Amino acid sequence: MKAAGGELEPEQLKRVAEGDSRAFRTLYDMFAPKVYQYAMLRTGCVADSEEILQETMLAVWNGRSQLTSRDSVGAWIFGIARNKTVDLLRRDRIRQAITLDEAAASACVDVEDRAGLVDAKEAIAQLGEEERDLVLMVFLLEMTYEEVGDALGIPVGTVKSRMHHLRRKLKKGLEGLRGDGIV
Amino acid sequence: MAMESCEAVDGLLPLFVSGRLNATEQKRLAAHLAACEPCQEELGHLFRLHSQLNGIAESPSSGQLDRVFANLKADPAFAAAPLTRFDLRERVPLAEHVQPLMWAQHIIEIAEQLRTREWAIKVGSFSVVPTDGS
Repeated sequence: MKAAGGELEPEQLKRVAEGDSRAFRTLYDMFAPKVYQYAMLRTGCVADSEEILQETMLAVWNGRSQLTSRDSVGAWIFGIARNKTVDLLRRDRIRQAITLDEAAASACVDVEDRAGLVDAKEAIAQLGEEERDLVLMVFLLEMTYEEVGDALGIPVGTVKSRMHHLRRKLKKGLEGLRGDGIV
Repeated sequence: MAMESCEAVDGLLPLFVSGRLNATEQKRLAAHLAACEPCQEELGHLFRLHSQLNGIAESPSSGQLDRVFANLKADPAFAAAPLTRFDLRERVPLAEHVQPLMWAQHIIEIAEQLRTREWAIKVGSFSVVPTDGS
């Protein structure tokens, strides 16, 4: 089975685990684009996505000794990215709640606007946050149900049934948008 | 062999789209798809969804990736990670160009210079530590 996000040679992984920062750059180049894309679709904000990417890769570097014992390096990295994204979105909500001066709020803070995606994004935006996360993990990050279950801490059977339900919902949503002449 | 039900292969469809099925699973799915029109349609829908999702996902520029990596390396938490032989090789450019024998020669020279005092020489990092507490 192909690994999520691509594969690094075992020797290269070993070098990263031992602290070779040039080998780490290779790993970064392989996984960073997907992490960034995922963050952009969750946050809609370049600055936040760059922050998520940086924090994710820093966590990977600091946890590099675990690299060689992982079944899927990609799934591990994407799981970290997902947690960093959830943390950031939570922080933003708190920041929004305490920001009284609208002028002081940055363009990145508006969580509702982030969901205001167009065309195909519209169907995704109609999903709940957890549902959107699940769809992105499967279709963008190309994680298996087992990997998604590990990342979310839920049984694989639950992932399967949620995905089944979600696919129906997305199909319906896209058909509805087409009917409205949006897609 | 009897054809598997749609429910039995349903979970394989998204994984086929993202290329995560192994050869056995692909065979199972192919056998089912050959005789099942609704699943073929479902697969087409999933391919469209996958393509749309990847199409709308904004990719970072190489400049962005370089900038984030530079920030990452400048982060105190990154820099604080313990030095390893690989880091040593990178942070001491001399090590890339000097033959091992020259390294050994260099170490001997340092040792000779310091022989008059009781010094311990930590070869890996070139740190020189006095053993007499001075």
